[in-house]
Amino acid sequence: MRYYLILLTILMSKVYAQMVSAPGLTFTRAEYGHNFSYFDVGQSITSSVALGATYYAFTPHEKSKANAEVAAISFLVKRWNNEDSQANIYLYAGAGRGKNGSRAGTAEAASLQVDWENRRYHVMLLEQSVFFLSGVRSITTFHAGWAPYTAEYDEIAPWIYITEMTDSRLPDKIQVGPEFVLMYKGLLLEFRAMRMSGNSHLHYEYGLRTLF
Amino acid sequence: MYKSITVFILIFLIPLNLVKAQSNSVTIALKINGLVCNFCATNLDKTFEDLPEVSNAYVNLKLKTVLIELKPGTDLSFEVLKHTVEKAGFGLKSIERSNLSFDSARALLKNQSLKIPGSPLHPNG
Repeated sequence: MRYYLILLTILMSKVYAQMVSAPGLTFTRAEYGHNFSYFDVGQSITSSVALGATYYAFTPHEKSKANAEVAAISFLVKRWNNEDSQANIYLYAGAGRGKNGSRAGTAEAASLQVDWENRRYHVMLLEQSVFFLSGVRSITTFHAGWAPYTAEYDEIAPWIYITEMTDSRLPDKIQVGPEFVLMYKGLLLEFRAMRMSGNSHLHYEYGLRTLF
Repeated sequence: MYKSITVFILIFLIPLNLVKAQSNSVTIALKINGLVCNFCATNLDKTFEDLPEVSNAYVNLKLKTVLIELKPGTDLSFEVLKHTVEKAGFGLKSIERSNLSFDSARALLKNQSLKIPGSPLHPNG
């Protein structure tokens, strides 16, 4: 699986993108979660390719914690620009160093994102994997969002999401929760309360994205 | 007869003179396919503001329109505008060269007017 994903990304000579924007624009994306956090920063060099770096942290509160820092390339594989909607397929790949449990070494990352949105609805499927010497950690995220009203670019735009996440380390556990998002120009703030199946505790998670 | 002439003057001649007096720069409205979110708007806003010929840019999400004001004495062809939109990752639907000043056109768009007065700009136009 690991080599299949790496081969896939190399063959496409383009790799999944967390975010690709107009050339010259810089993006940051940070998410802090109970089981999974990441931070990435990058700059688009064309409208379909961005270069950057990502830091991943898995289950930081447990013995099985893992983290990685990778240099990454993001690629917008396909975009459908319609009059009232947009759909995208992104690929991303990265290579660097990581530590899984007590074992440190090289690490590679690969991701796939598929999304569709119009001004009222947004759905996104995101698969993020990090390949350590001692195994793979993957997070699958599904977002479905709705805007209670349509705001203009220079107004604060609220969105309400249902977010579902699964961790490859706990394949039978699903985290689900509501997410509240505020957008203003090139700034996005997100807050969600996630609950893992079979567990009554809520985990509060936060995110910030910028484009400038 | 006199009434008709007066109405004609009021509607057509006076506004035209006012428009010319307001600004001698060019205002262009671009209808964009795929302009549906804040990050899309940021992409287009910054892309157009970075063009040396552009003095002002405004994005309206509801009308999927980017409004730009060109610096006096400069111009941008249909092909350059189309290339700029596509380079930012979007599709161009149409371009209108407006008779209005940038501020007037922006006010109209903010009031969600579906169309600002102007004439279509075509390839090689």
